[in-house]
Amino acid sequence: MASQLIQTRLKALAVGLAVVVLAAGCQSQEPQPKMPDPTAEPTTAEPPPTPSEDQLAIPAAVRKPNKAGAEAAIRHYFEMFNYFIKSGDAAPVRKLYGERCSLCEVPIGVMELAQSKGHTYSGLNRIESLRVSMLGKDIAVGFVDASQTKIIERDGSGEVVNRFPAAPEAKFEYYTVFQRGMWEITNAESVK
Amino acid sequence: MIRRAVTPLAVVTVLVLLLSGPATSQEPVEVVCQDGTTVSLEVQAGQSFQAAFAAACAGHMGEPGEDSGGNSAEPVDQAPQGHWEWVGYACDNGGICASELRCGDGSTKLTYVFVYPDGTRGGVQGFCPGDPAIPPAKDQPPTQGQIFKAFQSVAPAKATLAIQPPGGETLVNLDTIFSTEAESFSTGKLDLIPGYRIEFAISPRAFSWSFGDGRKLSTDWAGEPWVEGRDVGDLITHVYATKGRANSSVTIQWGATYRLNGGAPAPVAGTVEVTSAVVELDVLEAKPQLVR
Repeated sequence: MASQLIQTRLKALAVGLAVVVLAAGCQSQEPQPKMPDPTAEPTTAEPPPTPSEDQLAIPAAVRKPNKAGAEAAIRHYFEMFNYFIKSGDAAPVRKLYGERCSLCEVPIGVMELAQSKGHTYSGLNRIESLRVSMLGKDIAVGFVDASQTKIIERDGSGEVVNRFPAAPEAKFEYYTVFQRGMWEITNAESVK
Repeated sequence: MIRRAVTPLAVVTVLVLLLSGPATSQEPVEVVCQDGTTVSLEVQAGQSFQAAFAAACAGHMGEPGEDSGGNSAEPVDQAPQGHWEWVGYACDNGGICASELRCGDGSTKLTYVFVYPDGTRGGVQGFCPGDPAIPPAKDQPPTQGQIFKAFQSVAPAKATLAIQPPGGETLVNLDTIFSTEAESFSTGKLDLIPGYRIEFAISPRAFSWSFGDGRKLSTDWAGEPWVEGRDVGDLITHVYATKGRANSSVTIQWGATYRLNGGAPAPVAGTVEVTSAVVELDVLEAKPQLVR
């Protein structure tokens, strides 16, 4: 059981990060970007300038116990993950998964750890296609084909410390359960 | 919301996954050990991540059980409290059954969801029938819907219609005889859901005859073909009043009782109807003719 649990967690990490940052070296060959003040608070203290509050709100469709709602939840998850990469504000994406979804939490936690040290990320991931199948009246799985641009991690001085290459396609299964009044992502798996 | 602690182990795991992808590359990476020390980690071919991590972080692991993340993260080697619940067959919920929900043998995956003690549901997993990793689910009898679907899958799918006289022709004002075949039968024990076997006793409940001239008849039996010596009045007959083409058919309504794991019989909620193919009948008019 222990090994199964570890295996599950490893899968979880792989899924979360495959979407965010797939594989890379970490040499500083990128041009130096314009960086924010490294002494500034890295995350969450203030709402970021964009997107607007409405864009961060959970869409109404996510609160409907039907197939379209599950699809909306997965799409919004990706949008909020991109927002997190861009802004460092993880609160909106955290609203979309359960407290026990380590698969969701760990990659965010890792990036937050870096951000707490003044690191920033750039890049985004995108859903290329999404099919949702209902597994029960309130349980669904979304089959996602995702792509990812190059993800760059820079330290507080603007130097590139990690560079993750673009990934044109990666397949994932996102499992969702309708509970607490909305579709909640419970776990995910990468698909070979 | 309770924030899950991100343990150094998780961080290291993430970094290794970042840099190695599906366990092929062995580029050295920087990892954070449990006491916060950053070290270089290189996973050798064939070496597990845990072994590489343990070697790289030797002397930097902190106290046993210590969680330098500062929160009450769940230990990775401890199973969470809760139980698995059987959800159903993955393709039984309408719409297209995605190929990903099929097993190698074409059967449908079984879906389970993990339920925590507070009732919230966690991970969802699919398994193929016979998979030894199928979790022991909390005892849940099948729903009436699951039983009805199983009944639908074993109920007769076809009906036949026999008409006498044979040959597709009959006469006005003559008794035309209709019959079909519908015998009661038992399915024997069938696998329904894990832990439950079901046995159906299936029988025809009603017959609806459509004679093709606008007249219909309902009976509780299948009728029988006429044989020498049989009184036609005991059979299912219809008299056509006018000549023409008549398209006839019969619909059989099947019902069933079931026994779960050899228990007491109970009625299946719902019936299945099956209609025969249309049989064309030319209704002819006989004209009397004098012969020598």
